[in-house]
Amino acid sequence: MTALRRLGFAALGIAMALAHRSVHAEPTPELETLLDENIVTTASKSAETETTAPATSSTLTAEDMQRYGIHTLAEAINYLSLGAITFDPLFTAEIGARGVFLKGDQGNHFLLLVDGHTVNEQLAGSARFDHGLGVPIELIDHVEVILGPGSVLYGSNAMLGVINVVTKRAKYWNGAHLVGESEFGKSFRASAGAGTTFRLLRLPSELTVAFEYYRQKGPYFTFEPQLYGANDLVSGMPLRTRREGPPDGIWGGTAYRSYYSEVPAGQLRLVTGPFELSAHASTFKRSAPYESYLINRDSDFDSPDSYTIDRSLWFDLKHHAGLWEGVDLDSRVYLDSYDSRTFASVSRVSGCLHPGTLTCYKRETSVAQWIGAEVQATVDWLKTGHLVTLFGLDGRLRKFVFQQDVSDFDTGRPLADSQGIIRARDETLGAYLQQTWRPLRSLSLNGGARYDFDPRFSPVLSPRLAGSLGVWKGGSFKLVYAEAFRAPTWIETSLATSDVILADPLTPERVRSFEVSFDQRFGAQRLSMGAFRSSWQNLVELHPLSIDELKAAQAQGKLDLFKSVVWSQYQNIATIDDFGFTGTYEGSLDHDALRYGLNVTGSVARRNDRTGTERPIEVAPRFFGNARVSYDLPGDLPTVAVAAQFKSNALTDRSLDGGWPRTPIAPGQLELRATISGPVPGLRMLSYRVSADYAFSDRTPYVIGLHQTYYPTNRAYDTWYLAPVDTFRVTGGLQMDLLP
Amino acid sequence: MITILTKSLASFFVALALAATMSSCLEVPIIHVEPEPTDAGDAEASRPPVTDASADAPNSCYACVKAPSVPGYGCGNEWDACEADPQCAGTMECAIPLGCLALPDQSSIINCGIPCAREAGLDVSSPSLQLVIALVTCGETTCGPICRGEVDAATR
Amino acid sequence: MFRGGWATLFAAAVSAAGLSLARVGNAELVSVPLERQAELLARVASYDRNMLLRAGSRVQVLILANDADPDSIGVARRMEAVLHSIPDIAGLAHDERIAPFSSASELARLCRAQHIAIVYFGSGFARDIPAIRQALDGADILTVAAVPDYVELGVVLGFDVLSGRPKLLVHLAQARRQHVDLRADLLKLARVFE
Repeated sequence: MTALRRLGFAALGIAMALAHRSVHAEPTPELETLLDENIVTTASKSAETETTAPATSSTLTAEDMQRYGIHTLAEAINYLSLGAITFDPLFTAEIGARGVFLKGDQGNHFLLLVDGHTVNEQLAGSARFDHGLGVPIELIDHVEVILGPGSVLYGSNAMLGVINVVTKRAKYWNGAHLVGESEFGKSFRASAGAGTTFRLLRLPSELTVAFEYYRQKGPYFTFEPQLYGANDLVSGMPLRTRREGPPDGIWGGTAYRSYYSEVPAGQLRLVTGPFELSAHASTFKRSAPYESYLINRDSDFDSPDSYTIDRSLWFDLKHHAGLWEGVDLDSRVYLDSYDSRTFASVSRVSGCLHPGTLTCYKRETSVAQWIGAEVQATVDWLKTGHLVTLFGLDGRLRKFVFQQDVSDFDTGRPLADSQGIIRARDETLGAYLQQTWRPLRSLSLNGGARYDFDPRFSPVLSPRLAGSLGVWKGGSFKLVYAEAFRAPTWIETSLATSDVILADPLTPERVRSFEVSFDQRFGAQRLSMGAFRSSWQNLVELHPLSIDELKAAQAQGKLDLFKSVVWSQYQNIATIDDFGFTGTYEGSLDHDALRYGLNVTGSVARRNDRTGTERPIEVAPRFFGNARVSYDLPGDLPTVAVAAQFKSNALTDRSLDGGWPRTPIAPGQLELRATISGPVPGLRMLSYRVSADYAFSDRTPYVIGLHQTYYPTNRAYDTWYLAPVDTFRVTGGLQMDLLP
Repeated sequence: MITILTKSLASFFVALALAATMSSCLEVPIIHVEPEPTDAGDAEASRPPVTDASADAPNSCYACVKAPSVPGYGCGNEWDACEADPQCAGTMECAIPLGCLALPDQSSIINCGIPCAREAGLDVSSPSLQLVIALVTCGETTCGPICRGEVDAATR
Repeated sequence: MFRGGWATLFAAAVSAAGLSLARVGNAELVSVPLERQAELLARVASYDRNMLLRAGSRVQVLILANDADPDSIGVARRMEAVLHSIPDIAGLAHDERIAPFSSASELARLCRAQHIAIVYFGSGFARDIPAIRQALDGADILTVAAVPDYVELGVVLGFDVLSGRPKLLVHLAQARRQHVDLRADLLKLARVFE
C-alpha cells in the first residue's frame, strides 16, 4: 500500500471517528436552551428548529408584541425583527431588508403569508404591513420573518424574504376576548374574538374568530407653505391648490381633514378533523395629508376626498392526509378577491384641463381575483426523518382589471374616456422540489428548486442550497445560497396611458444571495452573527424617456407625439449589489423575568442602471436595528418594557432623480417606546397596556408637496420638504378575557 | 370513498360559484365620453381656412402657433417675438416637435421643455425666458386643443 | 368565468384527487419536531425525582404505535431512531423499542413485566388515552405524548409549539397517580393541566 493510500485511509478513519463521536457523544443541550430555540415552519414548509432552517430567520412572539406595546406587523418588524425594516410615509408602510429598499414597490419584494396563505394581491404584488393587514394583533401567535430569497418554495415576490403571520389556535385562545385601545386623541381600535374547541361530525374541531374596527384621524400636521413660483400655464392665474377660495399658488397649511384611515376586518379559522378552513375579509381606507409623486399626485391640499380604499376577501381550505407510512399528502384550494380604488381631487386648471370644471375627480381602479390549488407530497424515505423529499405543485387562474377615469367632482359626469385599460386573464403554475438530508445529528443539508411558468415570460428556475453544521455545544454554522424572482406585474407589462408607453417584453427581476452565519447558544443566551452578499438583476422601473428615446419611439411608430405624448416606460433597467452583516444578541435572566435583545444590520447597497452610474439606494439606511429590555415584576405587579428602533440617515426618495444641486439627506431616526402592562388589580379577567412613544427625528425620507424636483428656471423650487413624523404618542388599552 | 369524493367535488364547485359571484360584484365599466359638438358660430367665420385638412398632424400645431393673433386663434405675435430671439427660437423649435404643448399638465410641459431650454442656452436669468413663457401660455390655451389632438384643425 | 385549459383541469384534478383519493386524513398533528421532543424528554426526565429509582441503571423506553395508522407507525419509527442518537436520558443509558398497541390492560401488564420507565405514544391514540390513563393509575411510569392534545386527556407529559417555541405540557394530577414527581422549577416552565 502506498503512503498516499495509507494517508487517505487514515484521514477517512479520523473523519469517521469524529463523526461517530459527534453522533454519540454530543451532550443534550440544557432544558432552557431547548425551550428558547424557536421552531419555524416557513423556511422549508416543515417544522424544524431555527438552527437547522435553511435561512436566517427571526420569530416575533405574541408575548413580545404584547409586552413591548406593538400594534401592527410593521411595528413588530421594526422593534423586534432582524434585518428587515419598515417606513411610515403617513399612508401605508413600506418595507425593505438588508440595505435594499425599492421605493414605491408597495411591499411586492416581500412575500407576506397569513397561516401560509399568500396575501400579496396578484395585480401589483402589493401587501400591507400596517393596520391594513386586517389581522387583529391579539389573534397573532407569532410571526416568522425569513430573510433572503424564498422563491424556491413560494414563487414570485419572495426576493427580500418571506413573512408568515401565524394565528393562535383555539386551545391557546379559549373563551371570548374583547379589546378597546386608543392612541389618545388620534385613533381607537375595538376588537372582539373567540376561540373554542368542540366536536363536529364526531371529529375534534376548533374555531378561532376575531373582528376588529380601527379608525384613525390626525394628528393635524402643519406643512410649510410651498410657493409654486409661476402662474398656472393654462389659466394664467396663480396655481389653485384647493377647491375653496381664490387660487393663490401656495401649497401648505394645516391638514385638518386629510390624514385618516379606517379598517374594519375579520379573520376566521375552523379546524375539523384533517380539514382547515381560513377566511379573511377587510377594507383599508386611508388618506395621506400631502401630495407627492407617488401619493395623491397633483391633488388638492387637505382634501378628504383624495384617498385609497382596498378591499380584500379570501378563503383557504387545507387538508392533510397520511397516505402510507412515511408519505404525507397536503392539499389546498384557495380563492381571493382584491380591489383597490384611488381617488384624487384636482382643482388646478393645468391638472384638470376641462373648461367649466372646478375640480376633476381622478379615479384609478384595480381588481385582481384568483383561484388556485396546491398539492404537496412529503416522502420520508428512511422513515427516520433523515432523508425527506418534498414535492409540490401550485397552480392559479387569475383575472385582472385596471383603468383610470376622470369625472367632474361636483356632478359626477365623466369627462374623458377611460384610459390605461387592462382586462386580462392568465394561468400560472409552480412546481417545486426540496430534498433534506441529515447524515449526522449535527449536520443538516437542504437543496431544492422551483420552476415557475407564466405566459408572459420564459419559465424561471429558483434554486436553493443550504447546510447547517453543529460544531460544539450550542454552536452552529450555516451556509445558504438561494435565488428568487419577482414576476413583472400586469401593470408593468400592459399599462399604456397618455404618459406611459407600453413596455417592451419584460423579464422577471432576479436576485442571487449568499449568506453565512454563526449561532451560539449558552443557557438562555443567544449570540448570532452573519454576513450576506446579494446581486439583483433586471429590476423593473418606470423610466422617464430621454429626448432621443422619445424620438426613436416615434420613428418606430410606437407613439404619435401629437396624439398622445408619452413620458415613461416600464423597463428592466437596474441592478443592485448589496453586502453587509447582521448581528443578534438576546437572552433572559432570573427565570425569564428579565428579558433583553439587540438586533443590528449594516450594509452597503449600490444601484446601477444602463447609464453605468453606480449610486446608493434611496431611503434605505445603511445601518439599522432595534434593542429591547423588559422586566416582569413579581405577583400582580405589571411588566415594564422599553424598546428602541434606530436607523441611520439616508437619501430621500427624490435625492437621485430630483436633479437637486445639493443632495437631500433625511436625518437618522431613534424611536423609543416604553410600555407597562399587566392584570388590573382585583379583576383577573381584565388587563391593561399603556405605552408612550417618542421619536427623536421629526422627518421621514419622503419628499412631499409641489417641490418634487429641482427646476433651474424657477427659484421657488430650490428646496425640498420631507414628510413629518408624529413624534410623541401615548396609547392605552384594556383587554377582557372571558374564559369558559 | 364515494362520500369523500362527493364532498370534495361539492366543495370545489361551491368555491367556483363563490368566485363567480365575487367576480360579478366587481364589474368595472369602461367609460366612453361622446365628444361635444363644436360651436360653429361667428368664431368659425373669423378663422383662416386650413387649405389641406389632411395635413400632417405635426404641422397642425405649428400652423396654429404661427397663425396671426386673431383673438381666439393663433399666437403669431408671440411667435414673431420669439423667432427674433435665438434662445427663445431654439427652445421652441425643439419643444414643439417633441409635443411639449400637447401635454396635459403644467409640470409635464416644464419637464418636457427643460432639456430644450438647456440646449438653447436659456436660464432663469435670461430675458428670453419671458418670451418663452408668453408663447407657451398662448400655445397652451389658444392652440392647446389642436396641439393635444383633441380637435382636428380642419374642423375648428 | 373561467376558460377551459390545462390549468383549469389541473385545479379540478388537484382538488378532487387531493381530497378524495387520500384517506380521510390525520387530525392528530405532531407540532414539535421529534428530534426536539427527544432532547426535551431526555432533559425533563432528570427533573422527575422518582426516575432514578424507577429506571435503575438503564431507562427502558416503550414506543407505542397504532398499527392501523401509517402516521402513527411513522412517528414511532422516527422517534426510535432519534432516541438511539441521544446519549442519555436523565443521565442514564437507555434502550427503546417499538411495540404495537393492543389494549390498555395489556399495556399496563407489559409495563410492569418489563420494568418500563417511559411510555411514548405516537399519534393515533386519541380514543384510547382515557382507558390507558385508567389502566396506568397507580403504575410507576412516565407517559409521554407526541400529540399535544393527549396531555389534556391524561398523558403526563407532552410538547406543543406556542408563539413559535416549544412548550412543555404536564398533566399534574395524572403525574401524581403515576408516581411522577416533577420538580417545581420544571412546572414553572410548563403549561399545567389538573
